[in-house]
Amino acid sequence: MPNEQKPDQHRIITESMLLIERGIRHPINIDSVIENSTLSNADYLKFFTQYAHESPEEFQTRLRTERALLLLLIHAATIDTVSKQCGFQSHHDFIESFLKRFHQDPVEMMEQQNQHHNLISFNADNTILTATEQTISSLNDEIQIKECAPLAIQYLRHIGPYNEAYKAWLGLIYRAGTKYALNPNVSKIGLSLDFPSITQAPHLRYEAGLSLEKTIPTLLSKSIAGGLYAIYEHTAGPASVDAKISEILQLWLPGSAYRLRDEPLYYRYSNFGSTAFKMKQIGITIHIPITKKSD
Amino acid sequence: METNKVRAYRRRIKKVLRHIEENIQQDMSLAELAQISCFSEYHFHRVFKSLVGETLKEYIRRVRLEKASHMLAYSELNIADIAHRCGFNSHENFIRAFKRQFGHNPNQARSTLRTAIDDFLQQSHSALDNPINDTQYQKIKDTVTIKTLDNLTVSYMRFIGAYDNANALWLTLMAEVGSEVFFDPTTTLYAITHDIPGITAEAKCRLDACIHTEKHPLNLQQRIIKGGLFAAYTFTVAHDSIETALDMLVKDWLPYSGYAPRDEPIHYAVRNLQDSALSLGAPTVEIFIPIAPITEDS
Repeated sequence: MPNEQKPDQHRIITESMLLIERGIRHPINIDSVIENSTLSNADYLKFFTQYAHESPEEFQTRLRTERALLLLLIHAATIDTVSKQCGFQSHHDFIESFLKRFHQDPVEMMEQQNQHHNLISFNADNTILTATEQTISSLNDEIQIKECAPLAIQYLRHIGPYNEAYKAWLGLIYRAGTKYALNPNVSKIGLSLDFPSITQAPHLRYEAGLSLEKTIPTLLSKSIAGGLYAIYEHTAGPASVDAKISEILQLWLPGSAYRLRDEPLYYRYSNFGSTAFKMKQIGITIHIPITKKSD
Repeated sequence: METNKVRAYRRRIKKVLRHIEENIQQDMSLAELAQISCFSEYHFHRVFKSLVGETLKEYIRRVRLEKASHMLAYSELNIADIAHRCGFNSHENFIRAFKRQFGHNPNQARSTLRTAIDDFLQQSHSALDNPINDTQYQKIKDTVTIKTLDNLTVSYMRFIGAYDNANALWLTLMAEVGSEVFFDPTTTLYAITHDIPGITAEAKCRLDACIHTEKHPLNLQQRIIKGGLFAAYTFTVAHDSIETALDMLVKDWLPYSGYAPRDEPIHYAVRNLQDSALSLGAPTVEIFIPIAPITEDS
C-alpha cells in the first residue's frame, strides 16, 4: 500500500495517548512519552495536536479532571479519594483544575446528577429528560440484562464528534480490507470512551473495532471487558443512537436495580455491507456496562 | 441470501426505474415496461411490487407528482405546462392527482412552497434583507469554478431512504467493489441526490452512490451522469457540512452569478479517499450544481 507513513504516525500518537491514559493515578511525564515515540519533538507535537485537537499536556490534565468527575458521579466517592485516584497532588490542585474545566463545584455537580440524572448522558447540553410511564415501560420491555464474555478486537481510534465516527470505519476498512472488515462472520464493534455530557465534542474518543483472528499490523489490539450489560437493539439508524443512549442513561437506569459500571459502552453493528435491494438499515446493539446497585 | 437470480431481478427492475425517470413525460404502458425488464407482464407487476414496495402505477404517479412539486416551487412554468412535462394527460387530471396526494391544489401548493422557501431564506440567512456586499461576493466567487463536463458513465447502486442513513449504501458499495477498487487513487465516488426531503417523504428519497475507476471493470449497473455546464465548489467536510456548503452557494453565489440552475440533479464527487482513510481526516467533496447562463429570453 502506498504512503505507509501516515498510519504509523496515527498509531504512534494513539499508543502514546494510551500511555497517558494508563497513568491517571501517577501522571506520566510528557517529555518521556515524546522521547519514546520515535518522532521528533516538533513532529510529535504537530501530529498530536492535529489528531487530538489539543496539546499532550492539555489532554493529560483534561482527562484526569473529567475522569475525576465521572468517578464522583458513578461511585459517589469522596473528593479526596477521587483526587488521589486521578493523580492530583492536593485537594486544592484538584478543586482548581475542576473549577477551571467545569466552572462548577464538584459537590454541586454530584447533587445535580442525583436530582436530574443529566450529567452522565449523550446529551451534550445536559438536557433534563422527563420520563413518562409509557417511555419507562417500553424501555423496560426492550432492554435486556445479559452477562457478556470479554471480547478481543483490533481497532482504530478517532478523536472528535461521535457523528464523525465514520472516519474511523473508513480507516479501519482501508487497513483491514473489505474481505475481512465486511465479512459477515467478523463482529463489528464500536466503543464510546467518553460521555458527551462531560467531554466536549472535539475530544470524544471513539474506537472502531473488528473481532479478527488475523493480525493486522496497522491496527491496535485490546480486550473489551466482560460482565453485566444492559442491551438495547436500536433499529432506527445511527442518526438517533445518541438520543436513545441518553434515554437509557437518564430515564431507565436511575429507576432500575442497576448502576453504571466503570467501563466504556460499546455497540455491535449488523448489516454492514448488506446487499438487499432496499438497503438494510445498519443495526446497532447498544451495550451499557452495569452492575447491581446492591454490589 | 443474495442469489444470482435475485441479483438479476434487481438489475432488471432498476433498468425499468431508470427508464421511468428518464421518460416521465411520456405515456408508459405495462407492456412496454415489462418488455424492458424482460419479465412477462404478469410476473413484472408482481416482481416490481415486491422489490420496490409500491405498485408500478403508484410509483409512476409519485415520481410525477414529486417532479411537479419541484417545478411548482422553483420554476415559473404554468400549471398546464408542468402537467404536460410531468406526463399527465390533462391539467385536470394533474390537479386531481395532486390534490389527492397532497391535500391541496397545485396553485395553493406553489404559494405555500414559495412562502416556506422565502421564510426559510429570511429566517435562516436573512438573505433578502442582508444581501452580501461586493467584497464578500468576490471572495465566494473566487472559490467557485465554472466547468463544462462531458457525460460520464459510472457504475452505481441506489439507496432509497433518509439521506442521513445513506452510510449503509456506501458500505454496500464498498463490499461490492472491494477495498482495492474503492480506495484506488484513480477512483472517484459520486453521489447523486434525486429528491428534496420535505417534498419527498424521507423514506422514499433516492440517492445513487456511483463509482468511476479507470483500472477495474465492475460488475454493477451503469448509468450516465449527464454533462453540461456546472458550478463546482470544493470543501472539506470537517469545516462545512454538505448542507452548509450548498446553502452558501444557493444563497450567496447563485443569485449574483449570472447563472440559473438547470433541471438536473446536483451531484457530489469525492476523490482520493485513501488519503482520508490513512489520516482519519475528513474527505474533500466537490459539489456540482448544474447551471445555465441567464439570457434575456430566460
